[in-house]
Amino acid sequence: MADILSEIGRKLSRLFLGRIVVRGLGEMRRSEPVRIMTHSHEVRINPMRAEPRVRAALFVKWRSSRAVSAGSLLGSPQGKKSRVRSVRLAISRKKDVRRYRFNISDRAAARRGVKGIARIPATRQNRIHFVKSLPKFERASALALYSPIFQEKVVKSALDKGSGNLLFWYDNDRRRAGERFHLLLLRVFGGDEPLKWVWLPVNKSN
Amino acid sequence: MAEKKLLLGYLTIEARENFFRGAALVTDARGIPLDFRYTEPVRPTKLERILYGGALDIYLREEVIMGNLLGAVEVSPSLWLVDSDELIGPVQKLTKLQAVAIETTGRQPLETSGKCEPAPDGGFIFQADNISSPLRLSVSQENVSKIAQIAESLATAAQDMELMEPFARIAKAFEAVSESE
Repeated sequence: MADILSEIGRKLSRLFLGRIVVRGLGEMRRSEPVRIMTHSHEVRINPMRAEPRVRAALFVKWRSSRAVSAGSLLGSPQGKKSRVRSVRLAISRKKDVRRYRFNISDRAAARRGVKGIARIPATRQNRIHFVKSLPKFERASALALYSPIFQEKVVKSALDKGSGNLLFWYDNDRRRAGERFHLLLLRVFGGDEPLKWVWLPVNKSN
Repeated sequence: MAEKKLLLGYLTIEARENFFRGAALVTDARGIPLDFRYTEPVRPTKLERILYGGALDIYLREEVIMGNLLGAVEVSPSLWLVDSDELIGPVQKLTKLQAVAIETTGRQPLETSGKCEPAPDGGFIFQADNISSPLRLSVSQENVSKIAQIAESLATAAQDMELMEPFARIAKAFEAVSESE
């Protein structure tokens, strides 16, 4: 009988993989009551670094697509189950890939402006300090000399007192030219007019 | 056979921080305008600045502005005068005409009008007339041998006009266009 019980004990011990020691009744009487202990292991994973969190993400606006904020997509601060949402980033090829037209050349089209520039006066600077010899004038001295100017073609002239330049406009008759002149501005001493303009033919030998 | 009249072409391109524009003026030997063309200011977009990079400046000057201006000018001058050495090559390439860069100097006048001599810093010093400071001329390498002929043409024109004056008129025209916008 004892042998049979021992045999049953060995078989049961195989079944329970050594967790429970089954002893024969004789041995059981001598030993302490069998205690069954459960071993359960709870696996806890503690991250070694700060949990990555995305607080907000902006998707670049491209053409007509709406800018979308992804918000907190990855993980929540409390470590609870994250609710992952999907965001479609598919871009329609036809819609978003556009051909850029380089039309700089169109923007630089040349405009005709000969009438406009004809209204802008020509200028002559005062060249008096370059002139080595001038005719003598009685009771007058030369202040300024403007040259060359085609006297017959001048329709209007003005002295720019700020710069000392002479501004003048020629007529548009291209056939008429006439002679070239120096235009002298004289200071007159003792006369009624303190200033006087004198046309002086340009000496071609100069 | 009548001698061909001397016509001078003036070309300038203004490059500011955010725009480019240009003008071409053809005058007779007295400075009377025969043809004048100008472009509106070309303002490249940010995208164009990025895509063209360093080539934008050359592209706008030479191909866009100069190409449009010189293509539109109907009165062909005898000679093109430009205010920058960089414009000589492109103008000659587009027009097949001689181009000369011209600028004023503060030098003492040379002895005689029409005299042209090599400048120590490159180019040539040219006395256009006897009542002004000499001018500095620059030509392309293939035209160095023709500088005497070019100087003679300019001296002839300088008898009837101030050679640099049309550039000032173009600048005033730019101002007038800007004010009217």
